[in-house]
Amino acid sequence: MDIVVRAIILMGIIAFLAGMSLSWFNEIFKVKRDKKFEEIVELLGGANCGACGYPGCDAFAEAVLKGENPSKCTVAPPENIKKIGELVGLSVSAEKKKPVLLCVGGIGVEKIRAEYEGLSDCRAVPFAFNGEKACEFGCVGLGTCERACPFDAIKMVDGLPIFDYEKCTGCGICAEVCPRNVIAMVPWNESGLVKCNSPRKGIEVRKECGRGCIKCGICIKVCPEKAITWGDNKLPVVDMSKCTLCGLCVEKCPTKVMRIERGEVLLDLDVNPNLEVKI
Amino acid sequence: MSVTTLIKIFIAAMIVDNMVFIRYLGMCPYVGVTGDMDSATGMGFAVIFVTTLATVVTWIVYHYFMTGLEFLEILVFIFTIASLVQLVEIYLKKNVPALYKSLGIYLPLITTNCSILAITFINIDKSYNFVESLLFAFGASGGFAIALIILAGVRERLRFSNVPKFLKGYPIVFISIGLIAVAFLGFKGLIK
Repeated sequence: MDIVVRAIILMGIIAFLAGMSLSWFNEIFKVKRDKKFEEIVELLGGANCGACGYPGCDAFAEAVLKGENPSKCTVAPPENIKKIGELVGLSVSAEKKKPVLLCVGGIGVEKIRAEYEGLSDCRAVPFAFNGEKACEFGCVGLGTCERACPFDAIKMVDGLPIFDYEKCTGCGICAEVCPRNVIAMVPWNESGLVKCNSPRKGIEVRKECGRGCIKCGICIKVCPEKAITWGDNKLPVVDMSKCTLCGLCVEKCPTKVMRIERGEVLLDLDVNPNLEVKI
Repeated sequence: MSVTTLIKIFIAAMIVDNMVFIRYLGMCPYVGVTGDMDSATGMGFAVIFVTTLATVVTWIVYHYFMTGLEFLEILVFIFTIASLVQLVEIYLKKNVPALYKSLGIYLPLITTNCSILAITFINIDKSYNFVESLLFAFGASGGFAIALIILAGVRERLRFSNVPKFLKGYPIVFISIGLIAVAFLGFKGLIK
C-alpha cells in the first residue's frame, strides 16, 4: 500500500509543479501579439507556399505590419488582399494572375535534333547544348514546373505542362523556376496572346517547329478592331480593351497558336477544336 | 573516473553506438525532417540542446526523488521531458525570437522523440554518474545530428538521380539509411 501512496504523491507533485510552472511561465513570458497580426494571418489563408519571398505566412504578416506590400501574396483572393490593405492603411490594387504556357511544341510537334540523357531537370538543359528540342525558346518539357508547384496543379502531358486552374492559386512559382521564361503570368479573366515564345523569323521557326509563330502577320491584318500589333519581342500582342471576341485571328492563324480569353469565353483551337465564332 | 573513460563514453555514444544507425531509434523525425539541409541542421541542434537539458533534469529527479519508485521511470521521464520542452519553447518565444524561429517547428516534434527518452533511460541503466550522463547525452544527440545531416545530404543528391520507378520516394530513402547503417557498423571495433 505504501508504494502506491508514494507513487501517487510523487506523480501528483510532478504534475502540479509542471502545470504550475507552465502557466506561470506563460504569464511571465507572454508575447503580446497584435490583433491586426492575427487578422492578417487569417486573411492570407495559411498556404505557407513561400511565393511572397518570406518563410511562411506568419513571417509575411509581420513584414506587412512593417510596411511590406500585401499584394506580394499571390495566393490569397484579391478581396482579402484589399481587406489587409485597409487594415494596415494602404490602398492596394491586387489583380489575380494565372500561368499560361507560351509554347505548343510538345512531343511530335517540335523537331528533335539530338538525344538528351542528362539530369531530368529543365534548369540543367542550358548547360548541355540546350537539350534535345530544336527551338531554344520553347518549353524544355522535363517538368521542373510540375515538381515546383506547391499546389499540385501542373501535370505533364505529351511533354508539355497542363495547368489545372481549379487547383491553381496564381502564385507564379512555376513562372519563376522556368529557365526559358516560357510560362507567362497573365490576368486571370482576360488575356490575348500567341502561344509561342520564339522571336525568330518565320522561315527559321518553320525549320525548328511545326507549330510556332511564323510572323506572317495575318492576325494583325485580319483583326477588324485593329487590336493586334507587333510587340517588343517580334510577337503579336493583343490589346484586350479593343478586342470584341470575334475569333477571326484565332481561326485564320496558319499554325493555330492564337489564344484569346475573356471570362467564360476561351478561344483556343487546342482546347476547343470546334470553335464557335461569335458576332 | 579518468579522462579516457569520459572520451570513450563520448565517442561510443556519438559514433560507435549511433542512435539512428546502430540502435535504430528516433526513426520518425529522422525520415521526416531530412528533406532538406536547413531543417536537418535546425532539428539537429534542437535535439542536442533539449537532450542535454532533459538529461540534467531527469538524472536529478531519478536519483533524489525516485528511490523505491523506479517502476515509474517511463511516466515520470516522459512527463518531465514534455513539460521541459514546453517551458523552453515559451522562454525562447519571448526572449530569443531568432532562435525560436529557427528551432520553432522542431521543438514540439522533439517532445515525443523516442531517442531522447532512450538516452535518459540508458543513462540510468548503465548507472552513469552526473558528468558521465551529461557527456553521454551530448554525444548521443550529437550523433543523431550527424545522422540527420548525412541523410539530408544524401537525399538532396537522390532528388536529381535516376531512381527506378518502384523505389522512388521513401523506399530509396530507407535503403540509403540501411546502407549508411552498414557503413557505421565499421566503427564497431573502434572502442573495446
